[in-house]
Amino acid sequence: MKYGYILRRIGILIATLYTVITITFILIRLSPYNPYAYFLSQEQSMGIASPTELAAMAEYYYNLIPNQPIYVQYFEYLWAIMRGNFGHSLIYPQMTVANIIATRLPWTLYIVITSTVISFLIGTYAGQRLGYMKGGKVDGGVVTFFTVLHSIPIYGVGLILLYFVALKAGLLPSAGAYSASVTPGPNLPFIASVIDHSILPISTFILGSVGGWTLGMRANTVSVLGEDYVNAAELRGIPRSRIASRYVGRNAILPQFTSLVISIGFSFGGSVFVEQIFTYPGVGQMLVSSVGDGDYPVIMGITIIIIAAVLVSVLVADLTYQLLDPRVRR
Amino acid sequence: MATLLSVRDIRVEYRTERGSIAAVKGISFDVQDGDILGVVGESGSGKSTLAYSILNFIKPPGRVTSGQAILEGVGDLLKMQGEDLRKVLWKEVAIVPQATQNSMNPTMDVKGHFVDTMAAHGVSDKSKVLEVARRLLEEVKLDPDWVLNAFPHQLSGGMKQRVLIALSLVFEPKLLILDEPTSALDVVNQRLIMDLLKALHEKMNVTIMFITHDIQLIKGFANRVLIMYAGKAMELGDVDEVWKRPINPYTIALLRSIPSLHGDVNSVTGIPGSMPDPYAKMAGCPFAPRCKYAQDVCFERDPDFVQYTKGHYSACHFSLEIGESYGRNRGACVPAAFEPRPRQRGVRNQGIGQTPGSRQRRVVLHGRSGVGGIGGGERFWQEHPGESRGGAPKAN
Amino acid sequence: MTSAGDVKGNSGEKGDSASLQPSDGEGQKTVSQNPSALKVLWRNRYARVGLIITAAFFIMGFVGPLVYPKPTIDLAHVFAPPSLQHPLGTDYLGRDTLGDIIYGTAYILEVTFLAALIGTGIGVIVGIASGYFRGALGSLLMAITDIVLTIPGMILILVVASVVRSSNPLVVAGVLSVTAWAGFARAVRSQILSLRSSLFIEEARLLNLSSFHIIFRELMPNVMSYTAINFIFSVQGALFASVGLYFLGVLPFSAYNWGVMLSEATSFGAFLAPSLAVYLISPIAVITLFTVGLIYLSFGIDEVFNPRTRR
Repeated sequence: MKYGYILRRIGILIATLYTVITITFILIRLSPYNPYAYFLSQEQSMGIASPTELAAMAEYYYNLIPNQPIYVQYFEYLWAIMRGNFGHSLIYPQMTVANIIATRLPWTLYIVITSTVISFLIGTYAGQRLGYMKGGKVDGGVVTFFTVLHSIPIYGVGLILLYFVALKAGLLPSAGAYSASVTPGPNLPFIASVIDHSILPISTFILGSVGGWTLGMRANTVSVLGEDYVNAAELRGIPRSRIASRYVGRNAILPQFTSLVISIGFSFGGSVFVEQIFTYPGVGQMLVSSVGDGDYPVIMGITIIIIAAVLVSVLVADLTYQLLDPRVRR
Repeated sequence: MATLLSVRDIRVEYRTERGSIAAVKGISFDVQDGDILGVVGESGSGKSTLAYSILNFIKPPGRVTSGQAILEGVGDLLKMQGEDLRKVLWKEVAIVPQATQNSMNPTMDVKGHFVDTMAAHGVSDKSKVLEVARRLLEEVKLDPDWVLNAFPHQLSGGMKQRVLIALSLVFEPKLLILDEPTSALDVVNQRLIMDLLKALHEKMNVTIMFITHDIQLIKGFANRVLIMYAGKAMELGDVDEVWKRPINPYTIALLRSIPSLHGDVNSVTGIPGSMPDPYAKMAGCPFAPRCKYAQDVCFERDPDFVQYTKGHYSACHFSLEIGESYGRNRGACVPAAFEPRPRQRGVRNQGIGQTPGSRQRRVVLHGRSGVGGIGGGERFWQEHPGESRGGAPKAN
Repeated sequence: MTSAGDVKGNSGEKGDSASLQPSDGEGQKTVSQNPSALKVLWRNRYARVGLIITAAFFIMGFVGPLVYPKPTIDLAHVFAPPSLQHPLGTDYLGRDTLGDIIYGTAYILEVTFLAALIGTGIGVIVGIASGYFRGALGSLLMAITDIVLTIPGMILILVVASVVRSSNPLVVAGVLSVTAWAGFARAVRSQILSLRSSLFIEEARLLNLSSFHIIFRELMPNVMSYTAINFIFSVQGALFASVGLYFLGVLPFSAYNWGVMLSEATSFGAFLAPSLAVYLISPIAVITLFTVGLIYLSFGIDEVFNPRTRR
């Protein structure tokens, strides 16, 4: 694999991130909806703080130093963020934004990554099987089923699961990442509780996305089955099972990787709903509540982090694709 | 010499929503050990279908409806299924498919193809596989070190073709079938491949069945030739004999369509008209609408594939006469007895029944092939020069 | 929007011959050779269903309120089970659930279609501009597009909605369209780029036709197929996002709103109500049905603009 390519991609990632951070600076500082100015004017009109105190608050919450020239402010802001300082929350002034994110991000990553992997695997397997069965008796019904499944909005799926499984049937917990009765740590009860609490959120994600994976893989399989090299392999006496995995499967999966990239971003968007429904302490839920509260430093911080997470996963997916498809390598 | 492959009365049918197509209509022939048999026909003549039908590899909506393909030492391929057939494929008989541009797995290197192929038949020792692969790649004039690690997209068309030929020889099959191996290549590569195949044939004594639409590739390469038209075998024989004395009108037409370095360019003719609609059910010989020699009987009865001299077969009601007359003027002139019936300008597909105009009064050579036809006909014309035939008579 | 009969460019035989035929006298020939878009959609099994569903929603939205009684508040019968009077039960204020849905349809239709229109419109403009006018402008537009593309849609919408709080359909539509245009702009751009070098554009240039002409008469029709499909997907996306935003409570409360209905289902005590299931499922079912209809409709759109794919 060419290292030059990897470096270039990382470079693009950094450049994008940099641009996004710059945009947040512009939004906070210069836009007409500037929350910072609003916040300042609120404080000032209520006469609580003196200008120096306001300046200190600005720096505390937003990493902005008001009385310096703009380019200095910009630099300081950038520098602060690169060191991981995202300011402080307006609602919870003792907590740094970075802290808040750090406690919540792992939970979101946990459910997003687990569900994406499981959904991808199920969808790929089912999709290939269905691809072989195209035109058969089950085919039309199955396609309809998955299309309908795919059309249910994710909050719909979540609400239904919450209502029927958690509340009515009481099978699984309806809120929280783990039960209050266990102590966090590498012990079995804790791990069991975590898994228990994550089953519903993860299932929600899976149900919402598996339809798409299956239909996509099915379409790819069908098109690969029509390729000459599949026939040619059969003519060479290569057994069916080997053809299915190495000639059909391997080639049909490739386009799915581009979908993987899109689905990661989509999952973060979905986490906003899923975490809300199951009161799951991830960044999605934090984002919603901070939007409701107008906690702008947190909003900005979470946005930046989510974008960074998406960019990283895009990069990883892209590089993995390189490994699988030799045509793209050089 | 032993008979390596014995094909009897193979019929292949395709069923589609528009109707059914008889892609291969009762073809029989033998291939002797060490032969190079060239199967020649236009696009759509069914030659590729024939090749795949021998291997019992016809997929729905196609079906082999009858026939035998007995490979020496193996049995009737058409009676084998599933696992039995899989074991035979490639070990005893191998086929290099057409359009090799996409015949290799794009995510697998050449080495992998060899490993897979050999492992499928029980050879899992990698070093042995590589040894065989290197040897064969050298035989086909490719550099093993580079090619083995290359992926299909890195190889040119000619190289891929050679890799596939090498791949086909890993088990030294008794019979090697090549489906249009040079059609996708430029002239230079074409020549290289043909020479290569000839060398391989001599060196490894592999019997070759070679399918092509280009009749020029046959002379100088094959020793036997089978000529097909619209799914039907028209002529089969030793190449030299067929070239010198073809006894089937279609063969004659094909031969006359080859330009040669020596001959007169103006003597090259095409074959007017086009192949019959495959869905139409024809009563007579499929070539009749385009045939210069066609008579009424040709539209009524489909001629049988019959042996004329040793090893020389033809499907035509008038092969005997045609053979004789060809000897005299190399097909440049159609003998009087076969004068063209009045026919519309620009011969079209006639599909069913007879050409319009053939109903008009004509001399019929009393239908039976090979029985005193020519002599009688010629005499008749000489005696009755004024008889109307409803068209342009040609003065004899 | 050009009708199917005007499509050229793809050199689909039907399209070509139709554009060459005179439009007088031999109009009969044109019609039978190039059926109207509606006819083509109807012939495709899936698209037919999609068309029916979409039409049904429009009827429900605009004709429904004229026919069905307006739901009235009845605090004595909150979350009541389905009955003859209330086929789907009642909501959190005792209003008829079915009535809620019917009366809420118009707003949703307005917002989603408007959002799709805006998003697709911007996408087409940006895509064509960056594809046709190469150089700095094109690259810049593409760079902006790429950045917007990497941001997860919901997140971006959420952030923008946090700043802009309004119930005005136009504004909401604008918010929703913020992410819709980017992916589409990209697709349009690559299509334009590949068409740029194709023959008929060369010919147009040789004939000295103005840029304007080239863009509108030559390039656009080819992009129509994409545009139509993208429009439908944008409606879908806007549907999903708008209901979601109301569900989260990010957009201000409004009456008969499907999203608000969902959020009320999770409010205190609601889950204890015995027949909440019906109330909960109703808006979900309706959204799912509409989405399915849109997807099926998109199956047929390709045939409308691409005569070659028709049976």
